[in-house]
Amino acid sequence: MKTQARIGRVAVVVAGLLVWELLTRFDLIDSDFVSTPIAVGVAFTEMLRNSEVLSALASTGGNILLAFIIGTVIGVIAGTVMGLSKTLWQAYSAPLLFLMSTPKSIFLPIFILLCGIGSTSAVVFGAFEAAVFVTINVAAGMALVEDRHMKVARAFKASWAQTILAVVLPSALPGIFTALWFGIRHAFIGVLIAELWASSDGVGGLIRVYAEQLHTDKTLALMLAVTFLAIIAGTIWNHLETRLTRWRQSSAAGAATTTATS
Amino acid sequence: MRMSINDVSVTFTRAGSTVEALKDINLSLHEGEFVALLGPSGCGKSTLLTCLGGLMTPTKGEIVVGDSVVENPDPRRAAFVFQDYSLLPWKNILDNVGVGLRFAGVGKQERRQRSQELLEMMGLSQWGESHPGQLSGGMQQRVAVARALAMDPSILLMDEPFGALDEQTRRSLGESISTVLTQNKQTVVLVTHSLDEAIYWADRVIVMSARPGRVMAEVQIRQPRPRPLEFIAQEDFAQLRSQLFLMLNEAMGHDQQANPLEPQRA
Amino acid sequence: MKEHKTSPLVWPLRALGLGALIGVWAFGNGPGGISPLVLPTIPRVLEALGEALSQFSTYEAAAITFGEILAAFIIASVFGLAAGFWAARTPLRLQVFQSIFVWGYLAPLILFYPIFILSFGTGVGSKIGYGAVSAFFPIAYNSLRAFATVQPTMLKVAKAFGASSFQTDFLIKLPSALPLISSGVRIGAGASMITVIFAEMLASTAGLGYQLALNSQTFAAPQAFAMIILLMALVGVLQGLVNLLLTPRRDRGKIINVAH
Repeated sequence: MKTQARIGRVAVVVAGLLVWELLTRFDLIDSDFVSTPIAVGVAFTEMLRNSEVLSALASTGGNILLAFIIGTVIGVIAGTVMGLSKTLWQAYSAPLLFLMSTPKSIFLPIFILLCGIGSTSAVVFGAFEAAVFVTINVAAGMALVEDRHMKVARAFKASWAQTILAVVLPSALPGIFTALWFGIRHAFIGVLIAELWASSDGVGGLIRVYAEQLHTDKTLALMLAVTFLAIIAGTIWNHLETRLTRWRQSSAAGAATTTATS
Repeated sequence: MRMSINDVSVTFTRAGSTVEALKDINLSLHEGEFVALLGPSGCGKSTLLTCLGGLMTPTKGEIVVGDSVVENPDPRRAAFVFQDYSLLPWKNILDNVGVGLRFAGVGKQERRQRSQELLEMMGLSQWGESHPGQLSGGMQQRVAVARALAMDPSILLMDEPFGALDEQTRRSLGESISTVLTQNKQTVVLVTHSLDEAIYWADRVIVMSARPGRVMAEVQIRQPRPRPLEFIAQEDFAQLRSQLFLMLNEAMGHDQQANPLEPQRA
Repeated sequence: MKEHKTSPLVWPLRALGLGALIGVWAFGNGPGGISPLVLPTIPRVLEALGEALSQFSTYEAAAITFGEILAAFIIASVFGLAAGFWAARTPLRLQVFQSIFVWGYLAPLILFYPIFILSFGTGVGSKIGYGAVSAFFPIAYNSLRAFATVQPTMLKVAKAFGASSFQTDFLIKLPSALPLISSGVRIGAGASMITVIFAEMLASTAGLGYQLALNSQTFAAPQAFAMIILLMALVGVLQGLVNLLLTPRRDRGKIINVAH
C-alpha cells in the first residue's frame, strides 16, 4: 500500500508534467506564458550556478529568519499574557482574530511608507504577519490547559514553577508548536510578499523582475524551488510535531472527549 | 492521625443568589478508620471532601488534622483520588505515580523506586512505561490511587473513585484496593452515592441530606476488613442495605428532583 | 469551550487599545516628527475616506473586488468538494491525493501570481483563476479528510439497515463530513480573499486593491489609508457572510475554532 501510494503520487506528478509539456509542444497553450517543464528544468540547473539568484536566496533567507525571530518573540510574549488573563483574552481576541483572517497585504503600503522600499520593510512586515499568528496560537494553546490537571498540581502541592513545567507547558505544547509553525510560515510569506510587491532585491523581487522580462522559465524555476523548500520544511515540521506530542495520539479518544466537554 | 471537622458550613454565591451547600457539619475520624460519605446528588459531600483536602476553605468552621488547621492542600496530610482520574496524559504511568513526590523534591532514584513499589502493589508493574491513554479506566483509577498513596498520606480522600467504571470492574477493583488500604492501615474518606460501595468498604457510613448538606445519620459496619466479595451476598449486608436505603430515601425526602448543585462540585 | 462571564473591563480595555493606537498615530504626526507625506494625519485620512465614499467609482471598485472573491470562492468550493469526494473513494486514491493536496496547501501559492498574469492577463479573469487555485487546496484537503474519516460505526449502521451506496453517500457520509468540510471552506474563503486582494495590488486595472496600490505608489498617503480602511470593511462583510453561511443556527454567537 505504502509503495503503491508512493508510485501513485509520482505518477500523478509525472502525468501533470507530461500534460504540460504536450500542451505546449502542440501549441495548445502558449509556451511564452507557461514555459515548458524541460525549459524550467534547464533554467533550474542554470540557476544553481547563478550568483544573482544565490545572493537573493541568501538575503531573503536572512530576512525570513530575522522576521521569524522578532515576530515569534513578540507573539509568544503577547500570546502568553493573553492566555493567562481571561479579561485580556475577552477584550482583544475578537480584534486579533479579525486581523488574522484579514489579508495582511492591505497593510503593506503603510510599512512601505514608514520603512521604505527594501529589506527593512520586508523584515518588519514579515515579523508583523508572524506575530499575529503566533499570538493567537500561543493564547489558544494556553486555553488547552485543563482545570482538572491544574487541580492535580494544587492538590499535590506543586510550586508555581513546577505547575508551569509539569502541567502548563506540556498542555500548551501542541499549541506552541502550531504557533511556531505559523511563525515560520508567515514570516516566510510576509517577507516574500513584501519583496514581490515593492523591492527589486531578494527572491520576491527577482521573481517580479524575471516575470516582467517574460523569462517564464526562470520565474517558474525560482518559484518551484521556493515551493519545494516550503513543502520540505512543512513535512519535516509535521513529523517533528507528531514525535514530540506523541502522547496525544495514544489518548486521542480521551482528548477528544475532554475538549468536547470543556 | 485524627481529623475533626468542627461546625463547617459552606455557602456559594451564584448569579446573585446564595446557596447553602453544607451546614454545621461536625465529624471526627480515628486513625485507620474508613468513613464513607453517602448522600443524594448535590448533598455537598464532594464539597466537604474538597474542604477536607484544603482545596477549598469553608465559609464557617474549621478542619483540624492532628493539631493543625487545614488551610492549604498538603498531599502528605491528605491526598486526593479524583473522580475522573486526572492523570497527566503526557507523562508515563511511573512518572504519574511519582508526580507528588517530584513536586515535594524527592530525588529521581527514590521516586522511581517508590512508584514502582506502588505499581506492583496495584498489580500494574509492567505498565510503568505506558501512557495513560493506553490504559483502561479501571487501570487508570488504580494509578490515581497509587499516586495518592505514594505520598504516604495520613488521610486518603476518594471522590466517587469508581463512578465512571462498569459494575464488574468496580467490584474487582474494590476488592483489590480495599485489601491494600486495610493492610496499610490507611485512614480513608470515601464519597459515594452507591449503597453497596459504602457498606462494602467502610467502617462507618455517614448519611447526608441535600440542600443544605447536613449529617443525617451514622451507621457502623462491624464486619472486619478487608471484606471478601461474598460479604455482598450475606444477610448482614442486605439488612444494612435496606436500613441505609430507608435513611437515604428520607434524606432525599422532601425534594426528590435532580439537584442543580451537583455540577458545581469543585 | 467554557462560557465565562464577560468581564466588565472588556469594553474599557478595547477603548484603551483604540485610544493607544490613535495616541501613537497622533504622537507620530506631532512630537514624533514623522512627515505627513509618510504618515498622514487622522483628519486628512478621514477627509480622504469621506471623499472616496462620495464617489461612485469607489463602489464600483468594491463591487469588482467583491465579485472576484465570490467567483473564486465558489469555483474553488465546487471543485474542491468534488475533488475531495472523488479522492476519498478508494484507499489508494486517498493516500495519493492526500499528500498532493497537502503539498498544494503548503506551497506559497501567493508567489505564483506572475504566472497567472502571463496566462490570463491583468483583468478580472486572472484574479478569479488565481483566487480559485489558492482556495482549492484547503477545501479539497479538508473535504478529503472529512469523507475519509466517517465513523465506521455509522457505515455499519447504514449497511445493517440496507442503505444503497447512493443513500450512504448522501445520508451518512455527507452529514458526518460537514463540520470538517465547513472548516475547509472557511479557510478557502480566507485564502481567496488574501490572493484576490494581493493580486489586485500587484497587477490590475480595477478593484479596491488596485486603488490602494495606485494611491500608495503615487504617494497619496491619505487616500491609501482610506483604501485600507475600506478594504478592512469589505473583508469584515465577507467574513460575516461566511460565518452566516457556515455556522449552524444553534451555534451562532459562539466563537468557532480559530485554526487556519
